Amino acid sequence: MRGLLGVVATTDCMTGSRIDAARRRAALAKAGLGVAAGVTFLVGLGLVRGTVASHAKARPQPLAAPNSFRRALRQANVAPGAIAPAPAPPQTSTATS
Amino acid sequence: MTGVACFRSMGCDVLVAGASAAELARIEAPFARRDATFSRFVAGSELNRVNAAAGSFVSVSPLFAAALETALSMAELTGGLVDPTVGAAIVAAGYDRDFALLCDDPRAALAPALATWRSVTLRGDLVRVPSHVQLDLNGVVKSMAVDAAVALIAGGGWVSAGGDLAATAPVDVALPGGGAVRLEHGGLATSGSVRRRWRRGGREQHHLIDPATGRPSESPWTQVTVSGRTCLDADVAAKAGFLLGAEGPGWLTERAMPARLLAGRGETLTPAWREAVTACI
Repeated sequence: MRGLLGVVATTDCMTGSRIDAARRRAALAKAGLGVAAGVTFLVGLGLVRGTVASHAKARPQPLAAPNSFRRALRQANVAPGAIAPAPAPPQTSTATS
Repeated sequence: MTGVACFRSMGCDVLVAGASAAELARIEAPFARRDATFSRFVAGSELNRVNAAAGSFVSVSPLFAAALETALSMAELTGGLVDPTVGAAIVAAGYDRDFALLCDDPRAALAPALATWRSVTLRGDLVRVPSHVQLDLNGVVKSMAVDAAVALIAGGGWVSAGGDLAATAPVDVALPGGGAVRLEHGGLATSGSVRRRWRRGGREQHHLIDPATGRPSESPWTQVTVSGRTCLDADVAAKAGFLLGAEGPGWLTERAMPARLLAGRGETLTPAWREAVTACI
């Protein structure tokens, strides 16, 4: 009986250690799968952002006219000059050249 | 302010007031460079090189590209009235050599060459004009040179090229047809058909081409004087006011431009001009 109990005890110990080992492996596998899923998600996200036309590939900038347009707009607006009555004899003249 | 200096460039007398000797030298150089670049009558000018290459892309200098960009902007602003593609039309009217050498020609004027500024392509320093189009940038180059020159006078002064003025200090200016006005700052320019006239085929011709017909404009105005923020603004507005004919005063009034339009013995003033200088007329 003592011998049988000893075998059962030994078997219990062995079963416990195998279960623990299996649990560790399962936990490791879960963690690995989680990391792999996360990495896959991030890589996929990066690829989508980098390759799909509708996704921004750079940090969005506030809407603004480019400098070339601003320059053209400045040039494309005539504006009045400042004139006043002439208090003295003319120093020069304007005429068709 | 120092005295008035004078030199000749772009076919007219250039007067400079308020500039030191060093500034005057710096002012003369860009005038000479623009004259050599944009003249239709200087063999080998960049303008002639571009016109000779019509139909294909040609590389141009930054100076040329900037002037053409400005000319195209002004064409858009004026609805195509001040158009840089009237070169062939001016030649067809007979203005095919330096004005001093021009004489009456009994031959009929050539068929007008119609073109539009929209046909010109400018991409950076590359320009392409269609094969039948000839550029003439004198409509903007002289006033741009005047604006650039007056900016070189540190202490304030004025520059006049053939009557197109820019000032950073007050200057009293005689007006065509009598009267005078003080230009406090900015530009003052006059466009008209009383000078640069010649006869071709028994008909009077002048250099202000109506882009709609390709012929010298039949505007009722003889001279249109406008004050602008810059000489370029004033010059473009004066040309547009002239070419628009009866609609000129309205166009100028909408833009609050002080303008004086002469027709025969009468004159028309825009409200902005009247408010500013009626007392002196």
